[in-house]
Amino acid sequence: MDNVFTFCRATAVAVKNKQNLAVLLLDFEKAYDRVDWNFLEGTMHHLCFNMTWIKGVSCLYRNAHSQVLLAGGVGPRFNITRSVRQGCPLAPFLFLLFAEAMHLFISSQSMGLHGLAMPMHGQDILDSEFADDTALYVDGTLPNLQQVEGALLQFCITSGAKLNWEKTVAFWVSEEPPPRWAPHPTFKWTQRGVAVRYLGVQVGIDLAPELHVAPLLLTLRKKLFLGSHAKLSLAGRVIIANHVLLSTVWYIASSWIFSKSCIGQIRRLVRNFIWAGEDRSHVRAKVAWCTLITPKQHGGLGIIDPLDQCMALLAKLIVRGLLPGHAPWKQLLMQRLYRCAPPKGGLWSDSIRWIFIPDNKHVKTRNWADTFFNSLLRAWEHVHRGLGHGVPTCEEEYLRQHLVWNPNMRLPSGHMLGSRTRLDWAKLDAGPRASVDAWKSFHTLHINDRSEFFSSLRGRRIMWDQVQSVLGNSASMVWSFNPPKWEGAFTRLQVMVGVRGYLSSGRFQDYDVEEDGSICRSTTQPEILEYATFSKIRVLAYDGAKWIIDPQVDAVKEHWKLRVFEKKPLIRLQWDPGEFWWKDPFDRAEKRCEFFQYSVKIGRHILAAQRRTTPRASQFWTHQGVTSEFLAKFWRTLWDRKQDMKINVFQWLVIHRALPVGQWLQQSAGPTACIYCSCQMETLKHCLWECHVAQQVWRRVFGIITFMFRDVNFLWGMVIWLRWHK
Amino acid sequence: MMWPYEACPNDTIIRIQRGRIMVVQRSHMEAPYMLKAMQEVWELLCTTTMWFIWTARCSKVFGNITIHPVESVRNVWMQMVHTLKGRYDEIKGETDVAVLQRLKFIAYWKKAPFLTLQNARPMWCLAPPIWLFPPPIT
Repeated sequence: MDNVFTFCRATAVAVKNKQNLAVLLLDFEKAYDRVDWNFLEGTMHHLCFNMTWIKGVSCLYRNAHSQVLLAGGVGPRFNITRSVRQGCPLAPFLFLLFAEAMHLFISSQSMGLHGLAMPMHGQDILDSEFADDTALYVDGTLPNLQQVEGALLQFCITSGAKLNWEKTVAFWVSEEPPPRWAPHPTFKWTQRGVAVRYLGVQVGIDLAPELHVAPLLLTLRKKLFLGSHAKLSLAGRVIIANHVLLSTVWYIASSWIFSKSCIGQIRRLVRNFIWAGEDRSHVRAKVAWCTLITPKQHGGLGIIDPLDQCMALLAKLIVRGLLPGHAPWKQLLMQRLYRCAPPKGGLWSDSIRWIFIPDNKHVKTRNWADTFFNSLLRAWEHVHRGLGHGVPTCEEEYLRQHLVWNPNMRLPSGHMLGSRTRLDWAKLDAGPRASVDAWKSFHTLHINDRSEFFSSLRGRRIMWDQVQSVLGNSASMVWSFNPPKWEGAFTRLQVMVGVRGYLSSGRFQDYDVEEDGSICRSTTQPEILEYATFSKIRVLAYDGAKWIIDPQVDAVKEHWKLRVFEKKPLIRLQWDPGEFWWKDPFDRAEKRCEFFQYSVKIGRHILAAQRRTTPRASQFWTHQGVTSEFLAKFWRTLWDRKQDMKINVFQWLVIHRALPVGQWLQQSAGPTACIYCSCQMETLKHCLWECHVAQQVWRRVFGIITFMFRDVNFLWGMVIWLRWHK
Repeated sequence: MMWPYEACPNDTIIRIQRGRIMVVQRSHMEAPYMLKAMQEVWELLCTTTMWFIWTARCSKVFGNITIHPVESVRNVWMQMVHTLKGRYDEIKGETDVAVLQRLKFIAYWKKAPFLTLQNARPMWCLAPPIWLFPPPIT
């Protein structure tokens, strides 16, 4: 689904940046069958596979032969010289190597191909592959397109692949007319508004929303109502609804925004299926939808709400996007998420911190006119409320805390510090600033005034985003002034950088390292240091005994204390995922899970918990003396009880007063009298208890209980026990 | 400490708490222990009975098929037996934990008339007892 997301966002970015972009959805003819073994072995060798492994794989394929079974007869034996066998568990992985080779070949500098320009990352997006489905995003100039054609031809000759230009789909994303480029006589650009199926999803340029939604609803309707003749019980319908929806809708929903009307139509389909088993125009629901979608442990039926699920899936997109890596979809996602600014204007540059601000109403995004990202932001705003922020426990965590909008940093009044100006943000939220003692004093509420705390921090230390980006591969602190004791200040990472400070007087201030390892300023004591520019960066590492200037990367790593993912520090993110945790509000064990362990189920439960719906039948429960403690225990035990699921669901219906007895049918002008007796209004109590037919059953069933009480000793023991515990 | 159910001393009860096997004195635990067993019986009987009263009512309304209360009681009995048998058969294996779970199950349900013990194994009473069907109540 990431590839579909890449397609959608890449075309949107190209339109936004007014870049001529050509998108080619390549189709390789018999992709698996044409994989050349020599090429495959060469690829594995190039990717540093062990020779033993390469030989082992070769043994499975070399000297193989095959026969064709045709019309009951076996044909002559012939040797196989290429292909990976489809159906073999190893084949997809081998084909991945083939696809990786194509990616490396196309994106190599020597080819000189230009893709979709990404100004933030400085690296073009050129291709995305999923098995044998390859999408190329190339700059729409004629020479570039010709180069792409040449590169593909060269790759096909080398690898044995064959490109099927007749089935290859090409989109032209620009207002300008496409160039006269035709790699094949049958090649033509796909018209705007025409939908093409790519990885099971309808994609296209300027595609009408109906073209996405209509096939989906049709599929959903077919799947849901195909088995309606089977007369499933309510319990069975719940399972079918959840699983059919899961397989059909969620695949698309993970990277696509459904409109409100589409969500409404999906809800209507599911509701009709649950209560009627068929798609009718008027179906009376026995229980409200908001109760249905509540988890089972809290009195609902556990139906998955399409809106909640879509929002939870979108939130997962952000969580996945925060993981390290430079996949094309991630670049396209993050380059928009980084663009945020305070409401009163100003420059926050590339900061992802806003994602963790509890109240992100104070953050607005620059040029945020995209429907997709608006929905993404809205979804995250809701799901984010379930994100907990751990209290810092060590110096490193204290230093990493941001001041503004941090629930751990509150004034005695209970309010969080806010940042409405660029200055505040730059000074207070750009990174750790104070000594640990000052920070702890704030945390323990020894500082009563914001300005008092700010003044205590003034002129201390600032971590700058731009320096972080310059350093790129090292987690470092940047110091723009001269604290009295250098060593004491560098306990965080034991890695620091030399900086050139820009003084108010216009002079530069350099810090150097002496031969004996001590650090000193190269010029005289400066006046007030306004801010720092960083024209010269030198990394110093302190291993506890001596300073190392510009150490090797491996040496720096030894001193890192930050979490490292895939050998890349979280420096750009400026946050530690270990400080954040998710908590499922409906989890009995109240277990916390780490930030990257976010699941759609957790997100859905967080959204459901925010609704706090009360079942309509609860008004009767209080009259009948049913307490909330009893209910909480009852909901827990109801679904754990090992008996027929249909009986459990029936009991759930009884509790919610949703059985279609006469009293319930009265609203729809149905028959109201009891069918057994002369009672004119059949109530739930009458039907299941008071009616003489029900009474005959109950009296006989009570015989079983009486049988169990026949043991007089047991009765006597119980009386004593009750007296004892009175 | 392991022994067959029938050889278990009368004044002790074997329980499994938090994955540990515990032997506790029956005199301290008897009343709440039995009440718990009764509670389970009561919950199962109630829900099953309501279900069959409802199905009988629906048969009458939608299909005009009259199901006699005696038939409903027989259905309740059969449903209870099958439910309990399913629960017992779910405990598989001959490990210590599995054996103790079986013992626990039998200790819970032996007072109910749905099963009898024979060589420490439950014999399921598929036919409801005759005392359940007195003359029609008027």
